[in-house]
Amino acid sequence: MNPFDFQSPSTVGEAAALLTQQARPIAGGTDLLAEIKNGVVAPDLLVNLLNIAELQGITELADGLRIGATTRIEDLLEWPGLWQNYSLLAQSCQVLAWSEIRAMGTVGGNLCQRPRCWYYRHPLGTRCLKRGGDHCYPTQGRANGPFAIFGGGPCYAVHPSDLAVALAAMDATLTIEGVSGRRAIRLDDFFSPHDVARENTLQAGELLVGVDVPRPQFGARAVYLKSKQRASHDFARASVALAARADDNRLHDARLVLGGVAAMPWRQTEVEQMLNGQTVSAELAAQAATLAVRDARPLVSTRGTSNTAKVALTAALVRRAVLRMADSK
Amino acid sequence: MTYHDAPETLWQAPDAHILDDRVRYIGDEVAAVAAESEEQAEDALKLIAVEYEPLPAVFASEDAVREGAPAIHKTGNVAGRMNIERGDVAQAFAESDIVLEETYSFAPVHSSPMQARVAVARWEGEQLTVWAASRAPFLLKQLLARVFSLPQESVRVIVGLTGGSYGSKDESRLTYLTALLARKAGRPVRLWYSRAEEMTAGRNRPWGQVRLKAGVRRDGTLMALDAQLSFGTGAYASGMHSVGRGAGALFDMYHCAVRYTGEMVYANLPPAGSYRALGAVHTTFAVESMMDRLAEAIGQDPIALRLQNCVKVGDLLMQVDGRKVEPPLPLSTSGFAECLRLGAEAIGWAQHRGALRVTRSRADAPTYRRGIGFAPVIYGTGSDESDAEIEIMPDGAVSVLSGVSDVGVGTRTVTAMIAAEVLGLPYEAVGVHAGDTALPYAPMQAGSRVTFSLGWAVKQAAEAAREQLLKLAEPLFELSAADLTVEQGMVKPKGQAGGFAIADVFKFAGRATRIVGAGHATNQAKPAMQGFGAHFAEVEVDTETGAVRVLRYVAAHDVGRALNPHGVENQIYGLAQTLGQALNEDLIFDEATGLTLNANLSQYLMPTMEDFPPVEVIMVETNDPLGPFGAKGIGEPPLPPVAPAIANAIANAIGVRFNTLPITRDAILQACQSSTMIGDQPSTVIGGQR
Repeated sequence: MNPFDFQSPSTVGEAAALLTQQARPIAGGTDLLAEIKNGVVAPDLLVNLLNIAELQGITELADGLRIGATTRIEDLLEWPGLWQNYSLLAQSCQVLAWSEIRAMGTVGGNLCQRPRCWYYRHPLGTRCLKRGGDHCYPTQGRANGPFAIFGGGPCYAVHPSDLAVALAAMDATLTIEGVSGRRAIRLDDFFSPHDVARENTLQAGELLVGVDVPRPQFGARAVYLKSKQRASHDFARASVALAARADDNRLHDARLVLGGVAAMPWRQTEVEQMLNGQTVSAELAAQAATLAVRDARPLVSTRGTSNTAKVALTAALVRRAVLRMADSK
Repeated sequence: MTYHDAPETLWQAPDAHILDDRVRYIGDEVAAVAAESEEQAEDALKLIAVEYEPLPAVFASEDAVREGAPAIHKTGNVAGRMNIERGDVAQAFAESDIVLEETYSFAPVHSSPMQARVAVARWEGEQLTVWAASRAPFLLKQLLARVFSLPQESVRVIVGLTGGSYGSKDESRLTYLTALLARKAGRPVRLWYSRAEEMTAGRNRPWGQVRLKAGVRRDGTLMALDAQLSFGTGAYASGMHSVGRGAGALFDMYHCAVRYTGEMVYANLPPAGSYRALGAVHTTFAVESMMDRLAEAIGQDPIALRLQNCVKVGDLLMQVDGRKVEPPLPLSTSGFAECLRLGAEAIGWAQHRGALRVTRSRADAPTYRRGIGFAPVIYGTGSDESDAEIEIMPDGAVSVLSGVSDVGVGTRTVTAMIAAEVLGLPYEAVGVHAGDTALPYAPMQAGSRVTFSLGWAVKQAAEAAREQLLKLAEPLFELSAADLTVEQGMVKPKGQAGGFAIADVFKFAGRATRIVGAGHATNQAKPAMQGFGAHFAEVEVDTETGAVRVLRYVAAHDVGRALNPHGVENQIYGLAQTLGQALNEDLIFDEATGLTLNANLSQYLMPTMEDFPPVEVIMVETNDPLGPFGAKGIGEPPLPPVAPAIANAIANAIGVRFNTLPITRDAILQACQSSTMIGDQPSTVIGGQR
């Protein structure tokens, strides 16, 4: 591990000023410390965000929830009223990692976490694109892993977050502050799938302050489904967040977001439009599933491994999510 | 230190030096550094500039045995071969009504004990003391003496309580490097593997293939098994144990002609070595998957087919674990039929197995299917010589003295229980001094042999000590030793209450020195003792996602006699390891780069409590006359039947047979995508090529 300095500013402004190129913000550290130990990143300075009051806590607004970036996932999950009013958020937090990680990891950290690609994370170092190299290894090696079926290439690593998928389906907005001021950005626009070096649009000298989640309207229904390689904790093989409002059993304002399948939470607006105005039925669910993976392109390595199974899995999760709209809240 | 500083001697014949001028895989030790702190050592490592001359490499066994492949060792790329034949195999196939052939494939898996490899070494002149997490202190002592050209008496190995071995401790350079660094530094040195190092430079279970051909008659008579094993062993070979143990499932369980050829193949990959149950895991998966196929082909119940062909008490065993038994020995006891009967009853075989798959699927979600499967196991109790001593101090303190290491399996407990039983003492009154080569010789913790071999030695030692104690008490009671006994720690005339404490016996006799009873177990007659078992699983397959859940599990084992039932039960719960191998675990060696991709517990997915089904343990006691108090070895038998039991249950649920481990959710999902899953059509084969 490279030696680094550690500073604990008490305001967002001070923190932003410290966040230069070779600095990294740290809160729970569940992702960053592992990356440092494995030599994936070697920052000179860690900027501790846990002493900044403005980044902490959950506030109920008139029309939604404001979640501070350093709010622990476990605190969010235990916030009274989460299951009642923000069930999609609750569902995604509940299947996120396990309680010890949730007790350390933060909402902001979860959104900014790095991919789990086993070439990118390898402690012995690789010439992976994301590490500034010139290779995307799964294309010639093991492709049956956390790799994209949507929008892949030149890098195929998928975004590993559960929370981001749910927040995207809830139309969340992020607040970002930097040395040049404060800005709000929709979660959809936060990610940067075409930039292989990083996963989001945070600039040097900027940090995530919080997330605003609109309160779901009356009649809202939502479901988060996650498939893993084993029963206990793991990142998603694939996941689906579906939120909609139901009037007379018809779906409106549907938002469908897929997780573990692309470099960012992958929204499927075409499927959303198809669902709007429809009554939930087995046929509708099957159509939605087919449409959701119509443009999927599995990664097939030159050595014959592939993530083809993810296509059928994603379709199955979409189908189930649509069916669950008939009874979920 | 580099290879310039290391002795020429091989620590592991025929292929491994302490340090070498060749790097054979990514993870091979190149240089060693000792420092005042871990951080300093890491910084020092980064300062080493290595000049490499790139040589061609092979990352797959198939490539390693091709003509013109780069030689990984001077001796070639085949580390060893084994050929055994029993009966006329060609004739037996000719007389078979049905002959099936399948290829079974296995990913490398790692036992990853809680405690990774670690050692401390200290030199005092030419005296070397090593504290190591080891399953084999006496072997380690011998090897250290050889490597450093020391007389054996100059080396002492001490093993404290060790956090798991599963057969995989030792078999790496770590201890030798530690001793080398300590000698150079002139100070004690501690060296340990990180988790990533443990999972790369430690040892994993050999991967590879078993090609199996089997012939059966319509009346259910198993005629022939012909197996060809090709195991990958990576850059170094820790011996042919795995291939040898693989023979057990082929030769010992069933009466039929058998041909068996096995080879271990090098590649530029992390080395394979010993892991609990060795190659028996591979061959049991192959044979017991095949037996279910044969049963299906002739329309017989899978349990009945096994019972019809299995070895019976008194049958002569000619080969055990690939070794010829001279002269052939009759099988001592078998609780196999009882394991099958009780296991089948517990899982509800008769009610559930024949039922339609769809009726067992969840009513609310027809995409789920349930199935029941089973697989048997036979596993020879290992054998070794063993010494043991029982010491009775003049103050009455009683101890077992044995050099044996306890790797978490309860060896200290069971030896104290045996001594207490013989000596007529409460268990709590017997101490155990163990884990030190300064104490009497004991076998290594491997091959399901310690309770057996050491158990006999302790029993004998306790009997000898008891005899001396009663002799010492003769003047006190004015009775001969034959009329005396020890009960609840009191020495007394047989059939009478009261008596004297042991300390009083010493006092009355005026004896200030201790009593030492010695015991010795020989290495004879043990191959005739076999551990049997039968595992039953009920699984539920989500045919849309490939997720498989083991709903219920029954593990019935003939344990001879459960000396410490709680310990036996825990050994059986260890089946979790092959549950992981069956469904998830895959240590991924990248064929493009040779990197181990998931040498961490985040990406190498072991089962946790959530994945572990409720397990009903059934212990069948056959009281084998060859075992101490009737006990058989139970260290390894719980592992081999897990994967075939689960694969057979999955086949029962969805009509698809999987020949490749692990049976991943992706593999199941892809199989379910094909229409062959529906209904009761003949089985489809998935996998088999790796």
